Amino acid sequence: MTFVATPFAILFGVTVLLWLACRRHDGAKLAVLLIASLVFYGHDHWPVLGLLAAYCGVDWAVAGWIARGRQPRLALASGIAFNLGVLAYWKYTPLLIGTLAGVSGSALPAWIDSWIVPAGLSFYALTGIAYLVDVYRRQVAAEPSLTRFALYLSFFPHLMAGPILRAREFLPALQPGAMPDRPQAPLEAALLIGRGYFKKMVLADRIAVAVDPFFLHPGTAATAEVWALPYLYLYTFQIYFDFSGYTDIARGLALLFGFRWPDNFNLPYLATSVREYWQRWHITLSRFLRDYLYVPLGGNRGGAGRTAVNLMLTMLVGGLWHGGRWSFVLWGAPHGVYLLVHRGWSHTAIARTLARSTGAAAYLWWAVCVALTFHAVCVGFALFRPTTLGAAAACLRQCVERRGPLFAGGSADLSLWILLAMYGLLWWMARQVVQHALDREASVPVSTDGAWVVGASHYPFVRGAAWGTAAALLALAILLAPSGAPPQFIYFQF
Amino acid sequence: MLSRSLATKLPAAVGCVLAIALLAGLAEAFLRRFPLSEQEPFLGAASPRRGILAADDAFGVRYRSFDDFAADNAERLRPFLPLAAPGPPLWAFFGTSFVQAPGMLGDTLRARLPSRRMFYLGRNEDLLVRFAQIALLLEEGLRPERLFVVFVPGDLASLGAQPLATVEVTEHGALGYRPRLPAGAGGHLVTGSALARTVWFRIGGHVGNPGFDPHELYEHLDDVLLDDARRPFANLARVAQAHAVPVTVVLIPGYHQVMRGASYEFQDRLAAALTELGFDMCDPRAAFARAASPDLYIPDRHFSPAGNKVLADALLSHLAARGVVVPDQQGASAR
Repeated sequence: MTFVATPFAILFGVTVLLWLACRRHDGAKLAVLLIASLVFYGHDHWPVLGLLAAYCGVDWAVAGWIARGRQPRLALASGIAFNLGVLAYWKYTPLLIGTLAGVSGSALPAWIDSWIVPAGLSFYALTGIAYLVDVYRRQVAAEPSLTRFALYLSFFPHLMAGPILRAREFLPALQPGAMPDRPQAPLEAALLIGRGYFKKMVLADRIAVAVDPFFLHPGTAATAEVWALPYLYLYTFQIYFDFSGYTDIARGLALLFGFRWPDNFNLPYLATSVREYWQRWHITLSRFLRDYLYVPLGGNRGGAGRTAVNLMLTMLVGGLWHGGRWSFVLWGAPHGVYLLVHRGWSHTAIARTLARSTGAAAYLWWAVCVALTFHAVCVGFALFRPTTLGAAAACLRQCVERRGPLFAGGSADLSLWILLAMYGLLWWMARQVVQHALDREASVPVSTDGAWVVGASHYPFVRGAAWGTAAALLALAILLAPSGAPPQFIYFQF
Repeated sequence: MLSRSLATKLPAAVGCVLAIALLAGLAEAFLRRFPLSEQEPFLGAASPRRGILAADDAFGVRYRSFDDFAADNAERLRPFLPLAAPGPPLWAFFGTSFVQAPGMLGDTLRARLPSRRMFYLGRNEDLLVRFAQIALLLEEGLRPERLFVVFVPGDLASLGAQPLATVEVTEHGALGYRPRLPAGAGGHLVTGSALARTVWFRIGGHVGNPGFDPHELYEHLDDVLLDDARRPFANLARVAQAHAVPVTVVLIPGYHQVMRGASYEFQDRLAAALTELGFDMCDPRAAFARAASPDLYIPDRHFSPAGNKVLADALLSHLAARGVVVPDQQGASAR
C-alpha cells in the first residue's frame, strides 16, 4: 500500500478513529498502530508479512542476547549477518545471476523477470542494524517488549522509505506512560502532509509523465536527436520532490500520532559542495553510513590514503544499497570522487580565500558553488536513473552532444517548467514572510520547518494562512495530478 | 471576551481565506493556460488538439479529405497505393492494437497467408475514426476481397462513456466531446472557471453517460451504447454493400471472459444486432475456452504468439466453414 492509494485513505481514517478512541490506553494504542502497520505492509502481498515478522523477532531476540552480556560481539555479528544476509539475498540475487550469465554467456533464467524485492526491506534492515549496534554500544537499552519493538521497526509512516530512525528517536516515545495521546503540532502536520502530497502528486508525477519515455530508451534511434540535459534536470527535480514529498507525508502522519521524527532533506540542491549535499540529502541514510560504516572503518583517522579508501567504500556501499544494479554502484563512485576532490580542494589557499570573500564576490562564489554541485549531482543521477550501464553512458553522451533542438518531447512541456518556477517562487515568498514574522520575535528559534509553525503560532493571520495553505495544497494535489494511477514512490523500489 | 475571541479568529479566518484564494487564483491561471490533458477533448475550439476530421451524420466523424488522410498516413499507406491497383487478393483489417500492434493478428496472418495482402495501418484509433477510415478507403477505390472489423469489448468503452450525441469535431479537425454540465449556476461556473472545470472532471461529472460502467461491459450492454454502436455499423453495412465488399466482424473475447469466466452477454447482444444488419459474425469464444491458459497472454493482456495463433486459427476456420477460400499456412488452398 502507498500513501497515494485509496485504500490508504481508508486505513488511515480508521486507524485515527481507533487511536483517538483508545488514546488513554497505551496497550490499545500500541495494538492499533501495529495492526494498522501490518495491514499497510501486507495489503498488496500478504506473504511479505512473514519477512517483516522475522526481522522483528530476530532483531528483538538478538538485542536481548547482546544486552545479557554473553558473547555480545558474536550476538551483534549474528544479528548483522542476518539483516544483511536476507537483504542481500532479496536485493542482489538477480544482480549476481545476471552478472554470472553475462560473464559465462549463458541465458538468464526466466524467474529473474518475476523477482520482486519486498518493499521497504532496505529501510527496515538498516533500522534493525542501527538498533543492534546502538544496543551493543550501550547507547540505547534493549527493548524488553516485542510488541513495542515491532512497532518501532514497522510503524507504517516510515516503514517503506524511512526516515531511517534510530532507536532513541522513536522507542522512548513508545514506552508506557510516554506514548502520546494527542497529535503533536497539528498545523505543522497538516502543512507537511499538504506539501508532501503536492510535491509527489503534482510536481514529481507530472515530471515522471514527461521524462519516463526518454529514460526507457536513451541511446536508441527513438531518442537519438533528443538532448538529454533538460531530462536530467527534470529527473533531478523529480526524485527530490518524490522522495522529499514522501518524507513530508511520513513526518506529518507521525506528528498526527504525536511522534516527531527528523527531517531527511534540507534544500539539497542549494548545497555549495557535495560534502554539504550529503548533509542535506537523505540525511538519515547519510548519518547511518557515517556512523555505522565510515567511522567504524576508521573514518579520517588513518591518514589521507586510508580516508580516501574509507570514503570511496562508503559511497560505493551507499550506491549498492539502492539495489541490484551496477549502475547504482557506479552512481556511488563519482560521489566518492567528488568528496575526495572537495577534501583536497578545501585545504588549498585559494579555497580558503574564496570562502572568506564578502559582498558581491561572496554571492557570486556561492552561485558558482551551487551550480557546480548541482551539476555534479546531475551527473550522478545520469548513472542512477537508466537501468543499464550502456543506457547510462548513452544518457551522459547525449547530455554533452546536442544534435536536435534544446527541448524535445516531454522536456518541451512548458507547463512543467512554469510549475516548478511557481512552486519555487511561492516557497521563497512564504519563507520570507515567516522569516519576517520571526525577526520581530527575538525569542523564537529559527529552525527549518518548525519555524513556519512557531511563527504562525504567534500571529493569528499567519496561522490562518498556514491552515489555508495546507488545505489548498492538498486539494490542488488531487486536482493537478496527472490522470491515471499514480506512479509508485521512487524510493519504494529500494 | 467576545471581541477578544473575534480579534484572534478574524485575522486567522482572513489569512486562511486569502491563502486559499491566492493558491486557487494561481491554479486557475495555470489551468487556463495548461488544461489537463484528459480535458483536451472536451474543450471545443479551445482544445489544443489538431486533426483532419469533420463532423458526419452517418458515422459521427469523417475525414476532411483523402489527401489529408494520405498525408497523415504517408508511410503506412505507401505499400497499398494506388488503392485500386490490381494485385493479389487483399484482406483489409480495421481494429485496435489486437490487430495493429507488432506481432498481433495482422502480422500473424501476414506471415501465415503469403498469398494474401494484409492491409492494416498499424495505428490504434478511436472506434468512430476507424469507421470513417473504412468509408473513406472504399470510396477512394480500395477493393478488398474481404473486410474485417475486429474488436474486444473494451473497445466500446469510449463510446459507452461518450454517446454519439456528445461527439463533436472541433474547428481544428480534432475529435472531441461535449461535456455534461451541472444545472444552473454550476454550469456557468464550470464553463467559466478552469479550476471549477477541473473539479467537475475529477469527480467524473463531465461523462456523457454517467450510468455507463465499463466494468459491467461484459455482463450488461447498455441500451444507449447498443443503439450507438448499431448506427455506424448500419452505415458501414450500407457502404460495404454499395461496393460489394463482404465484411466479417470479429469479436475477440476479453481477458476476463477467457481466464475468469466473465459473462458473454456483450457478444451475445451485439452479435444479434449486427447479424440483423447482415454482417458475418466471427465469435472465437469456443476456441479460446478450449485453449484457456495464461500462456495466451503477455503481461499487458494482449495476446502472446500462442494467443494470436488461436485467434488466427479460429478466424480461418470460420471463413472456411462459410465457403471462403482460405489458403493454408503454406499458401495452398485448403478448400
